[in-house]
Amino acid sequence: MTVEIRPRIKGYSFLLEETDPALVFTPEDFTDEHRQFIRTTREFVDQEIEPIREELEKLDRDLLKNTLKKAGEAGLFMIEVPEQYGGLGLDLISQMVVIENLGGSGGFAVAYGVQIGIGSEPILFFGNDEQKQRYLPRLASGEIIGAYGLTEPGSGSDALAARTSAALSEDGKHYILNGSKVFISNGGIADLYTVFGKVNGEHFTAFLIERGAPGFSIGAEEDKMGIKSSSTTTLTFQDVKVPVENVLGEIGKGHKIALNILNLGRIKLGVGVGGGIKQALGRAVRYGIQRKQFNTRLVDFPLIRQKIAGMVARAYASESMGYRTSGDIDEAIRAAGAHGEPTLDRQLATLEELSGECAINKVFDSECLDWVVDEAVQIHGGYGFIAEYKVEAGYRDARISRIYEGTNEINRLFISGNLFKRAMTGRLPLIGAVQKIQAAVLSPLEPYDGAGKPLADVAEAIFNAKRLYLFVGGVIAQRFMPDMDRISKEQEALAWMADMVIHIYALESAYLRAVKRIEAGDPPAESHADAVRYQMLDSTAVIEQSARTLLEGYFADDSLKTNLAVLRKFAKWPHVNRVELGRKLAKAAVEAEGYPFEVVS
Amino acid sequence: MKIVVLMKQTFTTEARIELDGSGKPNDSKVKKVVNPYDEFAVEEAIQLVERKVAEKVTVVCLGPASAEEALRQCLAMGADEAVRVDSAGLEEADSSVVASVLAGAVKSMGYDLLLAGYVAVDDNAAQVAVRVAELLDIPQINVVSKLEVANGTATGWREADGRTEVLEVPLPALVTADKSLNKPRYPTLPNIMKAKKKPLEIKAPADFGINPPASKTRVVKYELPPPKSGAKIFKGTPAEAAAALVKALREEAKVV
Repeated sequence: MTVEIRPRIKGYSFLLEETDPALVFTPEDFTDEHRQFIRTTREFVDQEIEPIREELEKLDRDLLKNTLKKAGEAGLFMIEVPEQYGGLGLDLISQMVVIENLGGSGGFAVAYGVQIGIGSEPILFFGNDEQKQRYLPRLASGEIIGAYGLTEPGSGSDALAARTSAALSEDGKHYILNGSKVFISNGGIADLYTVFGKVNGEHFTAFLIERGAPGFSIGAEEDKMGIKSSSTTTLTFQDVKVPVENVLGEIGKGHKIALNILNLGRIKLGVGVGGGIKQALGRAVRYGIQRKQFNTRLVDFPLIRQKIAGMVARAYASESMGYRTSGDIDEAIRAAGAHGEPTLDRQLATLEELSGECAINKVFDSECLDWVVDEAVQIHGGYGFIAEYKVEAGYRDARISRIYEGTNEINRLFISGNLFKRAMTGRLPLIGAVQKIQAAVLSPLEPYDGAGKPLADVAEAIFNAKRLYLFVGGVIAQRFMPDMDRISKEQEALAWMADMVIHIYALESAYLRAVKRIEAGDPPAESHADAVRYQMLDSTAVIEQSARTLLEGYFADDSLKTNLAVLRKFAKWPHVNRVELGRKLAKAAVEAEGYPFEVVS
Repeated sequence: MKIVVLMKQTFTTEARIELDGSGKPNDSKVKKVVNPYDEFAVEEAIQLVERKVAEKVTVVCLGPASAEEALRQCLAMGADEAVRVDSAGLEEADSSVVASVLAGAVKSMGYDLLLAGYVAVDDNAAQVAVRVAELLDIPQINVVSKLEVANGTATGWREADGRTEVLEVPLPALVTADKSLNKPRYPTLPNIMKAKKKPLEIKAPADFGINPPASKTRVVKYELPPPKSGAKIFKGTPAEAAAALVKALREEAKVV
């Protein structure tokens, strides 16, 4: 399968080159339809979810199903489904604006995400025409609810080690399924389940199973820490007869489905989480405006302002990154389809190409969310610990995001492992770039030419961060090359290198968006610049600390000293006054009574 | 039966208004929406079509190009077509001018029923709709909380001083909406997409043969409301607090 992908859309290429801000999609580029989708989604939340939030939290399956039906009536499930199957056939950005604006709705957001994600995508991408005709129109309208069964009691991160078995019946008409699944979102309310099992205990395969099939039973609801309004159950299969027409994709190719769906799941989760970040930020700011202590509004205390500034910077970076990646995916799919409809193989190749970026979004966003909900509780003080205040649920709801769609640990290993694999096979010209850096360390440093660029100081920091990554990644990889197996056992090295990559991408995405604003001459461009610089303080600190820890972990004595000297050479960041910058950035959020870069009222 | 809805794009009610250098409300910084009262009118019109009382809903708006976003929203809710009468040169026009332009426009478009919000939330003037009816010399029922249309008449229910008035008028007529009239729908995503293909015409007043008259009023000055001063809490027993309150009302506020 060879697919031509434009250079900027090559996965991880951001580490090796500069990106033209004009080619990056940002929220300011939303079309009229995107804006209307956002308004409808917010109306839906205000009218259909908020008034019954407490009841939903008690997990009333009928109420949840009924609310999902209403989402279906509003067309919220139709976005990515092709028109011929009852959908709107729109792109990923159109889907993302809805996901983001439902992102603060706790368990309902999860139920929604399952329906449009793992509940529909396996059929959307891998179903044959008959399967698509049979299920997609009803999934798109909300008439039926979807779920996805991959995880088993004994196989979570190691998903391909599933033990659910499938055996062809004697008459060749059915597969007989036996086994069980755990932590199945929408488990208790779904009508259609995509379930993975091994044919003859060997060939990993996906099956479509309808509720009510004899031998298929649904367990009790799990009592979860958060996202309580979503349904999570076990599934048990005891000699369940699945018609052979319900095999999804090919026998033995189930891993292709599972892995590709994960990429989309990660970027969608990231953008949804971004909605949660903005919501927690808004609640914290609004509470801080009305709550006074020592006759002063909380938001007027500098320490509270610094917390708010940290929230704004994270929200900004997360949002900029999510829409950048989504826009790149859309662009790549469009480019792949330039000579006709994008074929399935092309779409999947595109998603695989950007799988590293999808994982980066997932890790960064879910960890930002945890930080933000934590500080939102802190700003609420004792009230934040009381269930009556919504930040309490937000705090609990956030925690799962670091666990599902691949734990953040698995995602970190993937980010670096995947990158190394591409470097080794020559898919990404990383080795040449590393050699160039290594040749340069002995001579005086090539200065960064930022003349005439907006935010040149940030551009230089990003440039240096990339050089630092290539240097550290290079010297560590060389210790293990060419034995890829050895480096895959060095989990600390992979994870800490991933931290550098994550922060380079996050900071650069925020930077590109701000430059776009400055070049467009928008009045709030200065606030955009403030958000980027605040994020730069945190990102460069993580990048430098990770580099140091890596070198200290893998080198000693003279070689450590030499390498640390090189680190100091690259780790040059502009001086920023966090005291002033934080107060100023927070002021913008206080004036906006929430996230100051909201593009739709 | 053909319904024409008069719509205005306004600031959101949460918008914080600032005055620009020339002392006018700063347009560029505030988000704009369909005037919420006009939204009730649009919803009512769509429901009349759904109940098969009417066949067609046209939404008309006097405004700049940015008002098309509001018109698109009305189309996405379910209106059939929209007309924007360009407000170039009429930015400072008062209610009498706006009413004469809109009256001229709807007259050439044709209508059986005119619907509008009874007031716009920005200037709170409640002038345009009633003036349009006067200019067209048609009956009107204002601030209705319930509307029935049948057999060439419109019947409107309106709340007045603790009682309900029921008024019946022959069509063509104008009816203005109160907020209890209905609950406006939010556009579904497929309807948002369909609305892109619905007709949205842009006209100049001259296209309707209108030569806008001069405004009858002139804005002398805009002022922001004074900042709220803090509340005062009177402590002590109820009797003491009441005495202190009366004293403050008499001596400080000088209102009793």
